[in-house]
Amino acid sequence: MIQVKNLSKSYGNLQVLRDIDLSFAEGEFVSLVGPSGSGKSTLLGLLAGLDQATSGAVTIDGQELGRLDEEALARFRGANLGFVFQAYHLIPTLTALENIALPLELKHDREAWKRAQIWLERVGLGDRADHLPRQLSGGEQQRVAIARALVAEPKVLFADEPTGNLDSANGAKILDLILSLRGRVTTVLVTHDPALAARADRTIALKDGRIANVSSTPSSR
Amino acid sequence: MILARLALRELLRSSGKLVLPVLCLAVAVAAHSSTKSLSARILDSMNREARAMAGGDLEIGSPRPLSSESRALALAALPPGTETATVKEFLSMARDPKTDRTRMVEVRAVSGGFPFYGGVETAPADSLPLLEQDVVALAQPEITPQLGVTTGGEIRLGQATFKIGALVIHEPGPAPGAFALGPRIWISERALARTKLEQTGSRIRYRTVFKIEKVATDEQIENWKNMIDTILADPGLRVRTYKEANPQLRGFYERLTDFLSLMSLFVFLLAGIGVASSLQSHLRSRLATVAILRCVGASSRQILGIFLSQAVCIGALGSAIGVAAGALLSRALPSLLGQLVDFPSVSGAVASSGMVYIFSFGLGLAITLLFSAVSLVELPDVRPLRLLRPEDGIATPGWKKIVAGAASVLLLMAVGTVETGSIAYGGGTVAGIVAFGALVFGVIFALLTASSRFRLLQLPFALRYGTKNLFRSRAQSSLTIAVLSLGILLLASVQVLRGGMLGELTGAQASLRPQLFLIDIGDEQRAGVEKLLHGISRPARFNWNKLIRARMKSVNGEAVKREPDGNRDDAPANRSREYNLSERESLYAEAESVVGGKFWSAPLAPGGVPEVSVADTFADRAGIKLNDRILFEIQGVEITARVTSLRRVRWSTFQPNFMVLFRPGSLEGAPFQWITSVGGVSPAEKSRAQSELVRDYPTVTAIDIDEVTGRLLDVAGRLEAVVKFLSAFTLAAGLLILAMMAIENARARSPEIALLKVLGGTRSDLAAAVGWEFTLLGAVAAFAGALGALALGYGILRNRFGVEPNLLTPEALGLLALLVLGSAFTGLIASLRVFRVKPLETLRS
Repeated sequence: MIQVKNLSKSYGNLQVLRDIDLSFAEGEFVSLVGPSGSGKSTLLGLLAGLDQATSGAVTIDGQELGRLDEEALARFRGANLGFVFQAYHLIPTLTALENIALPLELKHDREAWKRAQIWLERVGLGDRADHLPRQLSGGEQQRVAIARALVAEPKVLFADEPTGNLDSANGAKILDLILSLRGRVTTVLVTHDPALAARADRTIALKDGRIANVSSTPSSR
Repeated sequence: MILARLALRELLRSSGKLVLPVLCLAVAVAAHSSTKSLSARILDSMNREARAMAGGDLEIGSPRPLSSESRALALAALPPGTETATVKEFLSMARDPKTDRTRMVEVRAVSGGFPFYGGVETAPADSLPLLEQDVVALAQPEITPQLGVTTGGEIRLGQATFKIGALVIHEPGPAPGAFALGPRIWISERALARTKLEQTGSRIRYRTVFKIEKVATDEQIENWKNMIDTILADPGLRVRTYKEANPQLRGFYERLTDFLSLMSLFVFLLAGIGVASSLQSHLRSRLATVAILRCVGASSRQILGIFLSQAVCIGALGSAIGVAAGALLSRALPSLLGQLVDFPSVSGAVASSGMVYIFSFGLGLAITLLFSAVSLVELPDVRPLRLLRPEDGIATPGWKKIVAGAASVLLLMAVGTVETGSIAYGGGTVAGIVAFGALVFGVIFALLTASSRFRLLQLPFALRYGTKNLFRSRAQSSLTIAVLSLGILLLASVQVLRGGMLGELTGAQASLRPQLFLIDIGDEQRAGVEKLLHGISRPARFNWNKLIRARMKSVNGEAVKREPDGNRDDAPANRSREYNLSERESLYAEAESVVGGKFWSAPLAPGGVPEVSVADTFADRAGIKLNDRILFEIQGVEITARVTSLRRVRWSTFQPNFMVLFRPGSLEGAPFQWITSVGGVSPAEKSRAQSELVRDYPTVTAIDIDEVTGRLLDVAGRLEAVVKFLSAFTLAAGLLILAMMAIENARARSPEIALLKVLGGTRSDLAAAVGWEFTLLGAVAAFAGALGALALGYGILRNRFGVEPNLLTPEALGLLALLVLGSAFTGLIASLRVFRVKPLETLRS
């Protein structure tokens, strides 16, 4: 599903990623781990087409992201990728239901509201449809964010520390949600939490911008 | 749909922040719509009353009576049945034979059924035919308080006595008191002969007026005008359609409305900057939303649509409020201008000016959108990476912002050009204002950059912190100063110009000014007039000058063609009209100075080449240079003279002066009349002198200079009131922008202020720092604005009027101090909210 070849990224003189080669299979659940500054978030940004590599290429489902301009990238993201962030990043002026429906509305999907409602129910917030983000708890906001990421049925889900701002109970609920996608949606999860990483199909450890270790955890399936 | 909801909710959420730009825009639209509405009503009145003011469809203006041949040629070119009449207009003195009181009046001698079109109302009604009795005059009602005569009474004009048959209570056009130097007296042309006031060289304006039998279209009238122009082929004649009649009056109103228009565009420029600045801040606070939208697949167009629709809402709301306020304010403007716009249709009920308000609304919207573009161009460059790295910047190429800014300025220049009908005047003024703002921005930015490395350790905390805050965002500080300085420039310019002109008309110079100006004096009368005045006032001083009427036929061998009347000060001079010239052996030290070439010191030797000295402002406008050879025609005699000097004339001294002076000895034998100023006369002597002069020399006109300056000051005061009225808008816009920037600064600095509080800073420490910061900001802006005003004043006052600009008047200095205090006060008020915030709340958030 995702191929990464000789991927490097530098900011001025600071080299953040060096010659990364990776591939991710369809439906695979991969965790990216490493200490702060190791390049996890940078790699996630490049994989998701949020940033441009200094050199190398990222190909998702046969499409090399570097060949797309900003507009085409936005369309590609809308059609193929889903995102979950540590800080939720919901639009504060839209209700929970509207936040979920947003990716479909942008594509003028006639079923947007119906599908958004289904996902709202699926993440257990059917009674929170008209609530604004500030009226929801952190865990609820993150569930809305996951529903928004999945409502357009993406092929790949990128999650950056999705439980980082949550207590353990809410973190567990979110993790269960993400794990339920295993086998259907390719998931790339950035985390500091070793226990969370251990539940992935494969764990890629980064250090100083390079891949330090790749370990498979088949038992987690 | 969801995007529309998003746009609306984001707008409502930021509504607190967007109140100020909406108000700023409303101020600009109110200024524009109120002034445009007044302008439209003035010009509409002028156009509607044009035919009645001209009294016919076409006219030929001439410095002498139109010859019967020329009249016949003109009539032959016009349709059969065309009627014609003559009108002769001039200043003269009227005297009450019973009391010997005198008054300057405007005499209008008419024949042939003039005016052909109505609009003249008399009391008793329909009394115009009384003029056919040659002993009857009609007078405007002002004659009664000024001379003490009314209907049935008698006045003397020249050597004839007239009975006031009726009062002229209304004439088309502005109120009689607006511009005239005295009430108008109507007499018949035949009666004029009895007065003996029409003599060779008399300053009479001749008009031959035509009325086409059948109602003609404007296009036909224009064609006939061109035909007559071609047939008569005399550059000294001015053929005008009824719409072009009264060029001076029309010119005044066009200049006034152009000026009002440019002033309101100035407010628009400030408002545009305010809107752009505020939208920039709004967008910066919504970057996360933009990044989320990009992340979930929104296109640039969809995102742009959201923020563009918000800009439209701001523009529409501000413009709507502005139009409503403008409609109310447009009632106030006529009262400020008083008699100057005392047309029945202008000063009466506010006419519907729908198109004006629609235009102002549209302009407000367009300015909002164009100035918003300076910020909106950043949107496509907001990357979704911000969601992972909030510090990710926006790499919008500078040229995009420059193009958007330039488009905004070009729009204003285009509007200025369209509204004034002149690229140089309308577009140029806008460009000049923008250039001044850009210059201030550049200089302040450079100064802040250069001085930012100073550590200022010796200063107390509040002064150091306040000063350093200016360095922190140099671009923002420079922009704020530039915007404020533009507002101050306008206010200070009014002070400089007013101070200069008032000083000239009422200051120390006034005591040196003559008291009377005598015109239309025959050579044989000169000795007698002088003797009479010396009999009344021994110390009376005279400046006798010959007055010779002449026309330029060619310059350096190139024939002077008929040229249009230029209405603007910067318009080329009409060289083809007839001018008053004189000859003099020396310059008036207090009124003239040579700025080019050399002024003669002795009369012309017999057989020498005649020389002329030309006023520099006239030379500029007429394209005349030193050493040019000008061929003059003086009452049929041609004389070629070389330009040997250029003079700067201080017209406000009221000494007899002329655009062109001949070297004595050049004009031997040319017909002339004398003109003189009379100084050293007390008010009581002046009044007696006027009475006795009119009694003994009825053809001599004695102009009371104090009365003329009083009229000038009155007109200037009216115009000043309007300028101040509009200046209030610029000040309001400037302070709103200052408040916006102060609020934004305070918001951005909120965590820092919280930290200072934690570290022991008191509210008074913080208030002192912010107060100092904005005092400094206001002071720099005031200094820059004042310098600009002085430069402008120097350009206008010194070059045009020979008066030195002065900004060191108590009123001007007080105004500048008030502006600096206003800046500090605005900064403090805008920051109050942040001072009150509890430090823990801010640090936690």
